[in-house]
Amino acid sequence: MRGAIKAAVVIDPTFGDDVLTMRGLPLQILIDGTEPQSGAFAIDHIWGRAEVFVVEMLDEQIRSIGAGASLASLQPIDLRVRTLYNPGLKSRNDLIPGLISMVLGFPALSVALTLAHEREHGTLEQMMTTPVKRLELLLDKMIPYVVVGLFNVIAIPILSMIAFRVPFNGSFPLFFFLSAIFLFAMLGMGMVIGVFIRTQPAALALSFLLIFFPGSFLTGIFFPLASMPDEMQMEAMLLPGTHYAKITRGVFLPGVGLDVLWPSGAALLALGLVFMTIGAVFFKKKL
Amino acid sequence: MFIRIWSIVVKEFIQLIRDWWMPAFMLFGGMLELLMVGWATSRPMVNLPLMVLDQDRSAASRQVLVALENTGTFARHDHAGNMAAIREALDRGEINAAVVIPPGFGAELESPVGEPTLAILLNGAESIPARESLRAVEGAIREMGQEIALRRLGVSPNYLSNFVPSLRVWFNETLSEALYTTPAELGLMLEFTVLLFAALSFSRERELGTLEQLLVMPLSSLEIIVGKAIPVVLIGFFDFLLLLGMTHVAFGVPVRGSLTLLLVLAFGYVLVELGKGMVISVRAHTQHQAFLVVLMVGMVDFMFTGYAAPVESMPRVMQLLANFIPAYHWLTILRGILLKGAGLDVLWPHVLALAGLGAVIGSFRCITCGGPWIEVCGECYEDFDQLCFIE
Repeated sequence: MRGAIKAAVVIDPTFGDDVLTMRGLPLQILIDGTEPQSGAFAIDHIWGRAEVFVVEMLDEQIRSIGAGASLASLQPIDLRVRTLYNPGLKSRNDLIPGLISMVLGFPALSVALTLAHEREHGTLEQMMTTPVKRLELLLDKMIPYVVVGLFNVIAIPILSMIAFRVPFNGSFPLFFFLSAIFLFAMLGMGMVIGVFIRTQPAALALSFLLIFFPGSFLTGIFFPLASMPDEMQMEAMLLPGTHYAKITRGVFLPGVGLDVLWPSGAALLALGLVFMTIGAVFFKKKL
Repeated sequence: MFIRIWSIVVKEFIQLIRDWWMPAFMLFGGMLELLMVGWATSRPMVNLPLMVLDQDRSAASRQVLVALENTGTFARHDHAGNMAAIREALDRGEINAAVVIPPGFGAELESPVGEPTLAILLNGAESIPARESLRAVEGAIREMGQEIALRRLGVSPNYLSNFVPSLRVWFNETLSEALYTTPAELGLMLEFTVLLFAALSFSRERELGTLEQLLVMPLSSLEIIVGKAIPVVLIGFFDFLLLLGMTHVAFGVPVRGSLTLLLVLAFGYVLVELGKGMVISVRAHTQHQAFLVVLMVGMVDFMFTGYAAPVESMPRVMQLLANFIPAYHWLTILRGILLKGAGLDVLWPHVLALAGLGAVIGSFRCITCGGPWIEVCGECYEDFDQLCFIE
């Protein structure tokens, strides 16, 4: 109840006798299922142990009655596991690259907020009266965030390599290039939000709901896309983070190149262009 | 005094209604979001793509494939022509696992002393589904192996059934993911809602230049703070009720403990998060700054809600750190009451920790500028200096 233990094993008082006389295994396992992942792990583990124990007992029995060949194992099939790219299946090796997309969500939020900020303070009209073209204005608003974002793209892999020893097997220029496209798509998303929304709180709420929350749950970083319902998979395809997750996953561990990653890159580029177009068109109409 | 506080509360609500986008997004957008995300991710991992290279093509190899299919973890499998195809699919990230059945597998299996071999390749670039695949394959193969071993011994397949330990899972009988993840998402949503509304309260007034107007009014600073806090608490609590009702109805998350206790503690948690948001709000110069800080704080807290990895399996340092995160205690309390039906007798350390953190957060503002902080340090009240807000 306190959550101090995950599993408990109850051994009946008749345990020894029952096993010796081959009557059964009076063993009870209690599992705290609150957290299914570790609960399931505990089940598997204890079950496996119990099995080994039973096999040993049986073996003894068989040998004692002299039934000839000993039962070497209850597991005649030899299962050889080979893990590619990430021996030991360390989750930090794929979660940390996945989290880069979340960090790059911050510039997108900032774009949405600066546009809303100008509108809220009434300075957007002032900008409009200057000879700056609207498209130029939108692009100029993005450039500082592109620079900051790209700095992150360089800093995070270095940090994760040094601090967490995450291997980086791919080509860094390629990663940089694809990250720039991702940033472009994310900033486009932020811009669409900024163009439609009038106040900063609303812009924040919307970008939270469109960028951060689905960014962490729907992009396949924590939960495989294949297991989601079809409708959600379609929606996930509209999120830049989904495509970017594929890219980070491919570049960091397997170290694949553009020949494999180009569909994701193209999808990001297309999404970015669509967002930008929507932003530019409605920006003209709104003011 | 109460009339003055009341008038600020009214003013806050007028502002919220006029700027209805934000509350609408946060409350109903959040609900919708929780519903969708919960629906998408709160199921066991199924349909994982699997590739099979069957070099044996015997009855036995087909039996293996059927066993794998019956686990329900894998989608229909593609047959690969050779190892290169498997390698390429793994590189592309198209599959999570591949099973290779070598030639002669069936023959080895039939012979009484044969040692059939199977190979499984996992895509380590996605560790979570890879682990799930491994579990499913191991389980299926173990069952098959047992059957075969018993057949070789010449005993009936039911011989061992007495030797399986009896298993009982408590609190979450079906080990359902939904019961674990939706409370985490609920907790996160609630935290963000409260933090955002609280962070807005002062930074917005300051940025728009209306804070000075508030300060010159015949209101004490305590009245301003309490007046601004009440709407946030109301909204946060309302949000909690909405989300709780939804997880109960849509995802069947039970409330096994005392609902009253849960509501009281939720109220306390809202107050703690409110304190955090207010500290951010008072310190921040612009809304933009306040929001970025809120998001950063939220991301850190997110790591401790147990969504990505359970706190118990984190490194020791992180576990110690978790004790300083209100969200961690809150999630423990929430899960304890919802799933385990735990009461105060069990949860008191977490409640105490939450209260302690609340007090620390509350007094933080006293230390930084000698101002008051709700009721936690009412004695600071007289020292209040308006400069503290304007800076």
